[in-house]
Amino acid sequence: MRPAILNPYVVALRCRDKIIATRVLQRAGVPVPQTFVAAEVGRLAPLLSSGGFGIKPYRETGGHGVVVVRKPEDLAGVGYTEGPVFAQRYHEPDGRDRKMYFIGDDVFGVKRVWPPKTYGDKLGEPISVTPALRELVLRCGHAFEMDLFDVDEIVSGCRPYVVDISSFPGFKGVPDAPVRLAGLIHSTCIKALSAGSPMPSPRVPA
Amino acid sequence: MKLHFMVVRRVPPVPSPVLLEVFAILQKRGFEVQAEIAEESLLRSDALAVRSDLYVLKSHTELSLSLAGVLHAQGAFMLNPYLSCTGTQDKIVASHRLRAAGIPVPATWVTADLSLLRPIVDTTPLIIKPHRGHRGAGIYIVSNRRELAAVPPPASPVVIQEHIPGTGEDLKVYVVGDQVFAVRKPFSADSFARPGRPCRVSSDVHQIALRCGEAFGLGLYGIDLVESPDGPVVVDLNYFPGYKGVSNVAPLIADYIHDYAEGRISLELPSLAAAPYEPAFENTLAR
Repeated sequence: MRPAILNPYVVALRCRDKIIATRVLQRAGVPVPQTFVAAEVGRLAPLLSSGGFGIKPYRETGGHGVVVVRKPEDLAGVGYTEGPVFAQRYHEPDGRDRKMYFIGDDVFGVKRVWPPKTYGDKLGEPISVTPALRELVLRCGHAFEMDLFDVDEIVSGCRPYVVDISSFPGFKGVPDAPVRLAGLIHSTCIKALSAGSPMPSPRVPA
Repeated sequence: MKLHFMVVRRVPPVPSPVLLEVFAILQKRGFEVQAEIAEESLLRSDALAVRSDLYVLKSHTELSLSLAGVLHAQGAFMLNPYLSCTGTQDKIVASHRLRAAGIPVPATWVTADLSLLRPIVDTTPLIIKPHRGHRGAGIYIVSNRRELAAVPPPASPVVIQEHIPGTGEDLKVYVVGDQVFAVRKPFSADSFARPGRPCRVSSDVHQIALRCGEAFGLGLYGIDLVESPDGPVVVDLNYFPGYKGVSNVAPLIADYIHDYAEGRISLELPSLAAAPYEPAFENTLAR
């Protein structure tokens, strides 16, 4: 029997690369900010007259290395020298960010300050998951065929934007997360054993 | 039929004569050929859609690989196949796949902490490579603990291989489908930009080269070999190389692309059979 990987390798590969992940989300109808990629950060300068950017390392997760630029002089403060530049139009959040977690079929959410500075900040404050929020999270999961992930969502001008997705996050703030996680891993093992060939290949979004 | 070549800015920045000839041949046959250097553009990646019948991934840059990933996720037809290219570019994945296919490769380790190599460098010289490196950048050869300590801490994981003494020259093998060519050239920091001297392909090397293609689902690729006292050993593998030093190769590449585009050839990254269990971690807790 071939070994199973949770989440599947190709899914994690796509999810880890923000350039790929953003397009997969956008194709699935998930609202994402306008996204640009370039080899050098200076190429963004002409576009700053029509709005700022959040520039992120294209392979990092958890909000590491995010720099907000609003004018050409700010571009000098972007420290990445290797790899593609990943830039999304910056939308000023109306309030705190929302981190939405998905385990199996369950959706949870917390409101968090950004960037989080303390463990308490990371735990955030639980929010009730509205049908619209649940639908948004399910849409993200369906796009990647993932059972374990989180998405970072901001609301700006009353419009939601998904600004990051991570496979297998820390599930901070999710009630009974260890039990839920163990349950999902257990059921995945049982499925893998009964299927014999448990390496699902991700569906290409239509 | 529309062909889109994802190419790289070359060093020096002049178009590849081999590729220009390939384009001309394909255009004469009625293909619409487009070539783009991702590094020279500002792209809306959230709007990138499949607009060509075949994408030919020639560039090895991270930006091109990410854009290829965007196209692959939308079902683009690609040469070489996207997953074959990502598997080749990541030396951790590649070294395992080569070994699993029974291809002779050096003993290989992976770590982000070079101090773990101390007991190993006591017994054999090592070559340290970035796990997603290309063109020989960021490579260190160390023969003892002092030289190991002088290597800067890696920013990302490195692949470490037993450094196999050879003839002092790389044997570079280039493959187009089932046709195998070889050149020899001394290894140096800029040797990737220089053509080698054509040389005969031994039956051993011919067989190893074709097995590499089968193991990765590649049709246009190159391998670097060291000719050790125990026989040829594969030390690097690249999709769609420059074919520098191979004469009259453009018509063969054009034929291959033509056949692939029209479905007479297909490629796929094969599944590996599960390997028997053996401990893969070197004694990391017993330092």
